[in-house]
Amino acid sequence: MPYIINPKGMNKCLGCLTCVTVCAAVNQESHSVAKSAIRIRTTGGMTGSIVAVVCRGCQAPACKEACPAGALLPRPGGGVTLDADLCYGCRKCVPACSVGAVNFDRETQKPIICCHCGICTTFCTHGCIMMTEVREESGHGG
Amino acid sequence: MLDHTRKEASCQAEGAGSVRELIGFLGDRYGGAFAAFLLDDETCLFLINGAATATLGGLDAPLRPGDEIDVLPFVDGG
Amino acid sequence: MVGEKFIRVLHIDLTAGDIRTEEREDLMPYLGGAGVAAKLLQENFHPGLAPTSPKQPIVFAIGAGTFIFPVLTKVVATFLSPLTGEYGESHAAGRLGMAMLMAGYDAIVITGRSRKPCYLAITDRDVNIREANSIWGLLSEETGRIIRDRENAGGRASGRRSIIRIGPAGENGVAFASVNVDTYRHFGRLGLGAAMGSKHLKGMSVFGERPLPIANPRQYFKVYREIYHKCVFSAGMRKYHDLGTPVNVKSLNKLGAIPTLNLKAGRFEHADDISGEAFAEKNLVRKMACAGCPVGCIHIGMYRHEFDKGQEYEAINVTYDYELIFALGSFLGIRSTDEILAIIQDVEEFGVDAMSVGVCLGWATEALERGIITREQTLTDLRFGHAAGYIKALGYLTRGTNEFYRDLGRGSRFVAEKYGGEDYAMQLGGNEMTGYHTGYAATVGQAVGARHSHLCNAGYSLDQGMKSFDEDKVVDDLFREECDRCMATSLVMCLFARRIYDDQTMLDALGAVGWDLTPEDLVTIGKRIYQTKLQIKRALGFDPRQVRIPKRFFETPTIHGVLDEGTTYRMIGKFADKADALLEEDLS
Repeated sequence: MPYIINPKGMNKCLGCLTCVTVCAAVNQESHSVAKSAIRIRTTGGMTGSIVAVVCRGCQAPACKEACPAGALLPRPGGGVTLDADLCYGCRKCVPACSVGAVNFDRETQKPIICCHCGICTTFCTHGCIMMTEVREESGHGG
Repeated sequence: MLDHTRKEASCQAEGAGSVRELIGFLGDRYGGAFAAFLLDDETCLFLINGAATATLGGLDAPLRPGDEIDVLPFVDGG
Repeated sequence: MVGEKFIRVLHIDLTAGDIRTEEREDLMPYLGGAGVAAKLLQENFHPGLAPTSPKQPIVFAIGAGTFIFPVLTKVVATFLSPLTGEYGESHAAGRLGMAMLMAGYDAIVITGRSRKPCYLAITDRDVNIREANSIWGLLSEETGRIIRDRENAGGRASGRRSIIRIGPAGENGVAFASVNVDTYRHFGRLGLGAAMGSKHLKGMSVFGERPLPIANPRQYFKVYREIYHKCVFSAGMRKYHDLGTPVNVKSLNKLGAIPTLNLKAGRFEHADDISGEAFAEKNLVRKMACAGCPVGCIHIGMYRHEFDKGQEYEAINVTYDYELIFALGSFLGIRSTDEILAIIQDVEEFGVDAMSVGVCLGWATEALERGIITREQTLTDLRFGHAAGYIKALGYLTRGTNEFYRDLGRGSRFVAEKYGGEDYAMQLGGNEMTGYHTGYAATVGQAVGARHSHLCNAGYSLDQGMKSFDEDKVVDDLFREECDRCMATSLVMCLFARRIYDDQTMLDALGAVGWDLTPEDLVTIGKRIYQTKLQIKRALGFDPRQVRIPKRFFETPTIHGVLDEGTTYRMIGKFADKADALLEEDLS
C-alpha cells in the first residue's frame, strides 16, 4: 500500500527545521529552506503552536484541477507529481491548495511538489511527522 | 547515569579501599560500560563525604568504612 | 557564503542612511563567526571613543557552517561593551543564523546613529531602514509582534524570518541591556542592547529566499547524516533536551558550587525547590530548538498569576535556563519556581541580561543590609528571598528612576567603586559572575577570557575533571581551549556540541562544503582569531594583570576548597604571558 506524510505528533515539534533542511538537500540539492516541500511555521510568533504545512496527498487534488498545462499528474496513493517540461510557471496551483502546501520556487519559476519520499520523517527526532498507509476509503492517511 | 545502574540511585559497597577499587566494585555490579564511564576524565566526578577527590588523591583517594561517596555527572551549560 | 570563496558583508551606516555590500576574499582566513566578526570590528572600531559613540560598529556574523550542519546554529555579535568598556562579544541562535544565510549575508556591519528611532528590515532582495518612532519604548514581545506583522513578505516570511529587538533597558542605556532573538534566545551579555540603543536601533528583521545550491550533494549529505546521528543519539546531548541546563542545579548544589545569596555560600537551602526537576514538574509546558538543532534545549515554563482584583488571571510563558535559575534564584534567595519565572518575565520584557542583573541586585541587597546604601536610594525593600522587591527594582533600574538606579545600571564594578562594597560585587573583568563557583579554572578563566564568559575557555569543566591541581597545566589547558573555541565559534558551533565536533568531524564538515583544511590549519585559525581579539582588547586598554578580583571569590569555598589569592593572580599572570607571546606570533 502506498504511504503519505502525516504530521500527527506536532505537539512534540521543536521547530528545529531538520525536516525542511533534509527535504531541500535531498530533493533539490539545496541548502535553502525556500526549496523545501515541507514548511514549518507557527500560528503566530514563537509563542504560537508549530504546524507542518505539507502535502496531504489528496485523491482529487485541487492543485491538479487548477493547472491549465496539465503539468500536475496524479501520484499513485495520492498527491501529484510535476512534469516540469509542461509547466510554464503560471502559479495557479499555489492558491488552489487551501492548506498552502504548494511552495513556489522563485529561482526555477516552478512549484515545489512533495513526492512523499519520507526523508523528512526519517530525520524527525521526535516522530512528529510520520509516513502512514493510505486508506482506500478516505484517500488520506490514518 | 541511571541508565547504567538499572535506575538504582544508591547502593552499599564493601571492600573498596580507594576510589579506583570502588569503580571496580561498581563495574562488577553494573557492567564494564559503567566502569569505563566512571573512569572517563570528562563524564563525572566523585565526592567523598562532600569533598572533591582532586584534593584527596584523585582515583587513589583512600576510603574508610562509613564514607559516603557521591557520583555526580559533569555540569555543562551556558 | 557557503559554496563561495568570499565573505559577503553588508554595511549599513545609520547616520547617512548608506547601504553597501562587499565580497571579501581576504576574510576567508577567518572562516566566519567569531573570526570574521572580530576582524570586522577591528577594521571599523575607534579605540579613542566611548563604546556608545555613533562611530563605533556593531557586527553580526554567521559561520562557515551555520545552518548547514546540525547544531552549528549561531551568530556572533561583536561590539564595544558599554559594560566593560572593552571587547564585547555575544552569541545567539534562534532563527538568526538561518535567516542571515537565507538573506545571503555572512556579516552585517552597522555604524553611525540614526537621527530617529529605526529598525532594519533585511531580505535577500532589499535592505530598508524603517521608522521605529512608533515602537520606541515598547516591551520586547510587543516589539517583536509588530515587526513580525509588518515584515511579512506576503506570507512567505512565516517560519523563515528572524527578529531581534531591544527593550526599554537598551533604549535607556543600561550597560548590561540585552537583545532578544526570536522570543526565546538572546544576545545576553556585555550590553549589546545598550550599544544598539545608542544607535537608536530598536531591532532588526532578517529573511531571505536564496537558492543556495549544494556543490557536492552526496558528500554533504553523508557527513550531515553522520553528525546528525551523533547529536541525536549521544547521551551527553540528551540531557539538554530532557531537563535542559537546569539539570545542573542539584549537581552544583551538591558540589557546593552554586552561587547563593550574593556568593555568601555555594549551597542553597532550597535548591531542590528550584531544581530542573521542580521546574519540569510544576511549570514546563514546551520545548523548542534553535533553527538547525535537533536537540531542543529551550525549556519554557508557565506560571499563572492573578494580576488584578476580581479573579483576573493570566498565564505567562517564559523560557528558563540554569544561568537564570542561579542569578535570579539562589543568588537572591528566591525559593520557588513561580517567583523565578515572574522575575524572568520582567527581565525579558525590559531587556536586561539576567545574569548581570541578578548579580547586581545581589550586591544591592547586601549593600542595603550593611547600610552603605539606604532605603531612600533603593526605593523599595531589597531582601534576599523577597521577589516583589526585586521586581520593583527591575522597573526602577530599567527606567533609571533615580541616581542610584542609574548607577546600578552601569554594572556592579562601577556601582561598588562608587558606593563601596567592592569585596562583594561579584564580577570578573567587569562582567558579572556566572553560575559556576567551581575552582581556580572558572575564576581565572572568566577573568582572562576574551568575552569574560565561562564559555570562553570552560574553566568550570576543567575544575570538575581535575584529578589533582597543577596550576601550570590549568593555565595551559585554559589557553588551548580558548584558542580551540575561537575556531569552533567561527563555524558557529553551539558549544553544547563541543564534544560532537572533534577535529576530524569539523574537517569533514568543512570539507564537504568546499574548505580544504588540515588539522594544523584548525589550530592556526583558532590562534589567528584569538590573536585578533587580544589585539582589540589591548587597543581598548584591557590588561589581564590589572584585573582586581573581589575578595569574596577567595572566601567562599569552591569544590576544591577556598581559593588562594596569590595562586589566582599568579595563574592570571602566566595566562597573560601566553597571551603576550601569541600577540607576537606571525599567523598570516
